[in-house]
Amino acid sequence: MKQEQEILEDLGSKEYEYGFVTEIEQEFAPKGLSADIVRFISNKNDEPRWLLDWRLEAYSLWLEMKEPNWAKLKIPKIDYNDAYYYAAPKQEGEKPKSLDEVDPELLDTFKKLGISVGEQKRLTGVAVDVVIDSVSLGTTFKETLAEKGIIFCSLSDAVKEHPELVKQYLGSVVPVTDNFFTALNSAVFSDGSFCYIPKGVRCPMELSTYFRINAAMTGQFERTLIIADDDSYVSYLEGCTAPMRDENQLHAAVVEIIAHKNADVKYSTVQNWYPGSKDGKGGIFNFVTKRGICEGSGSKISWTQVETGSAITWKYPSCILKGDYSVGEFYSVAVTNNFQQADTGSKMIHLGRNTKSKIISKGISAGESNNSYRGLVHINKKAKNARNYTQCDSLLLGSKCGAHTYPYIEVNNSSGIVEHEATTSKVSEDILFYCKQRGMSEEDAVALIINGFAKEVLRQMPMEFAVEAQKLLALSLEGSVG
Amino acid sequence: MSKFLTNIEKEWDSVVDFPIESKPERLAYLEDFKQKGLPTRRDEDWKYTNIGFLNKINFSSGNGSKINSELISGIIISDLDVHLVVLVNGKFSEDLSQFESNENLKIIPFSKLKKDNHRRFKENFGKMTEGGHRFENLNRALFSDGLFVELGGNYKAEKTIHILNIANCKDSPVIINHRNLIVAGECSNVKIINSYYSIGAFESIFNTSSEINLDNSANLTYYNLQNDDQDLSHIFNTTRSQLAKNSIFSDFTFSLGGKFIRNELSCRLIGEQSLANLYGLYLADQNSLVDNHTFVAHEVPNSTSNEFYKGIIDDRAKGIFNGRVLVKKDAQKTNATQQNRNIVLSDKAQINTKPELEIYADDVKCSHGATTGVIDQDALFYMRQRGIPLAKARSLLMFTFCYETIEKIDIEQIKEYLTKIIKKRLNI
Repeated sequence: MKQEQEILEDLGSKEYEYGFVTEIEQEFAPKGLSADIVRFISNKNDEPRWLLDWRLEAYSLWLEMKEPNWAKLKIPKIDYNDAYYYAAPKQEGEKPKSLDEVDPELLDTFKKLGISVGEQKRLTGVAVDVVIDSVSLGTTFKETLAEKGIIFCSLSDAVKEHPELVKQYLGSVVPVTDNFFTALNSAVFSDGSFCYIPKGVRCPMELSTYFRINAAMTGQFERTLIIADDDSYVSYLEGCTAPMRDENQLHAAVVEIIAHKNADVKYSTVQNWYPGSKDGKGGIFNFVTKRGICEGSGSKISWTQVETGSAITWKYPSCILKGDYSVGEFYSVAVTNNFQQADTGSKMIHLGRNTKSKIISKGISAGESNNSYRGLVHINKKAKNARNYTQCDSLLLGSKCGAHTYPYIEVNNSSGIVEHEATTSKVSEDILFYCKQRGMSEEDAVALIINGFAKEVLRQMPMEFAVEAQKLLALSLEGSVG
Repeated sequence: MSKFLTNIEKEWDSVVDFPIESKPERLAYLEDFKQKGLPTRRDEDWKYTNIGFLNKINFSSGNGSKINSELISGIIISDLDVHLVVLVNGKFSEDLSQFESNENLKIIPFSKLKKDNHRRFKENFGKMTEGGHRFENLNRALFSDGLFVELGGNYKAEKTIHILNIANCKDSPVIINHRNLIVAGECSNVKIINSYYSIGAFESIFNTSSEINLDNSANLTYYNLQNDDQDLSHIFNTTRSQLAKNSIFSDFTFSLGGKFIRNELSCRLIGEQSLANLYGLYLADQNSLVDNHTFVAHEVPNSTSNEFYKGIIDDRAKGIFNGRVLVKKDAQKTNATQQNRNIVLSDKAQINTKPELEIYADDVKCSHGATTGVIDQDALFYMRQRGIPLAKARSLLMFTFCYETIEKIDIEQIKEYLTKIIKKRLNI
């Protein structure tokens, strides 16, 4: 049986599994950021005038903004001119019409990642939109979905085919000037996913986007826009990986969800960007703004996230509960190891009457990492009978890591009920002893306990993802816990 | 320059040399305050608290007319035998005070103190507030008097010490900068009350800064009683404590009256097996604001802290609670709990709470909880079913909510005194 000391020493010896680079020909925009680059990206995507103007305005606003510095993160100075803002796998002539025409090297990449695009098409019944570096590669199941009236495509296609929808909703939940990174994203976003579920339609399969950063020195800036019309339902999955590199790469995405009357949207993320080496070198800076609005009454938005990757995570999926009787949920497992830093949590803004929200956040810190929960529950004067329940638990593995909780609770009326609970502890010695007594190795026992700790959140994930997430959890902490 | 700073400049002109600290020595603190200015809502620590009123009050440290000694008997807690120290407008009042000071229990106003005669004073004065926040620096620059309390080793004080801060604002608005330094020797035991009272028709601004040092195995209980004028009284109260091995520090903060109350309480647990108990109760109504900021730092292994703050907010009042618990890297086996419970009674009232945990050690047990809600409807139903009218049932339930804090007090007379005030507030 491994002693705790040995287990800790093993920590970090586990290499990042998805750290390979795919050798494909890439096309880059010139390095740096300027209005010309914004024009270049817009031109590449063959965008209409209004979108270019929108981008340029965002760019000029961004120039005047400052990086946020309130999070409990040590962020090295980022040189925004020392990166490529557009990189795409090079292709001759037309975009591939179907996945069969996509470069096999690329499909291999996804096979290695466990996302066999082709296979997925036949077997699992998950529609996938694949985004590599800046460009969406292809979307599976497009036809099947179209029969139901569901639009699921890359954002650049949506701009061409459904400009009225994009124009109406783009930037409506996350305004350009929301923060530094949303302004940057609005200026240089290259592509992303778009999804529209028409009235009364229950999306028959999970929709999924897989993001991958492949090229060096690039930043990835994608946008996701999900619109669920009255009485519809959709479950959306997002996964991400990147190669191992010594330099830090920036990922600043924006996700917007609009849920109309009685719509139900479930958004699940397994974030596994390259976390950096065990000495804290390299890794992705993950500065993401995700926000959903429950526009109509009785609507529901549920965020589920498993965060294991990234050198720095700065991410607060939020719900604006505008419609009466709307519901917001947030389930999160955040794991940090080695020198990773995470400052993540959720915002629940109660505006409508009888709105409900629930936040379950589980943080696990190991190595020399710092893991913070930062959340806001705001109950507006007019949000009569609003209800919130928040639970944040932190588990500490090792004596050099930190776990922090910063909840903000603002109640502005007399009928709101808000509960917040948080605990921080290490793996209980009693439970460990109990497991070992029954013949389990220490590593197995700790793995079991961690799994139990995260169960409440993992249970919320769709089957396919839950399995992946569980594996990931074990992998991220391999050596430290088993 | 803002009006507040202009008034402060005027105050500075009237500051006199103290034997314990000369005017030039205090200049640096004034400069620091002037440089930073008043905090705004952009400062994280003042996010929910607006102190714009400071620029609207034309205050001075004022002398005021004499206070009638008969008035005192109406303010103090009846039947409780205390060492009474009265400060009027921040200056020690010999006529009104009644206490005995001896070798084991020194109670000496700063104005009468010869610093070289008291080793513990020299060692501790201004140490904890050094590098402190803006109002502490303002206090250090402008303090007009203060109180030094020292308990000798193994001394158990039988009588409670009551520090009564009176603002005499019969003629004009006043600002009071007053300091306390309390040093509890090894194995000593003492209870101290700190209370506020304003007389007159003008505004009062109290800016109190207290330093409390507990030696090994000392046991000190500190009661902050804030039951002042609802329209005129403004209290800034900063308390810093430091706990050595095996010591026990208990703080009770009752904010029951005052237009504006900001309490900042910090505890550093620097000795093993030390214990900090922080209890708070706030009832805010009308247009008042009560802000409690607490900070507990566990710096060594095996220390414990319990924090329990409750409040009821009514009318257009605002309540703020910000509790921060820090567990440093070496502080293994720390046990820290924090609870904040609030009841909001009106749709125009507001409560903002932010319980923070910052933990760098793994073998710890830390938890915090915060709830905001309404009166238990089931309990209300049960009581009404048994013939208790709605209004009365509500009051009774609120009283039991408050009593949870009151019953932790170990002096019967204070318990009764507070029970009376709260019952009156709740119309029971």
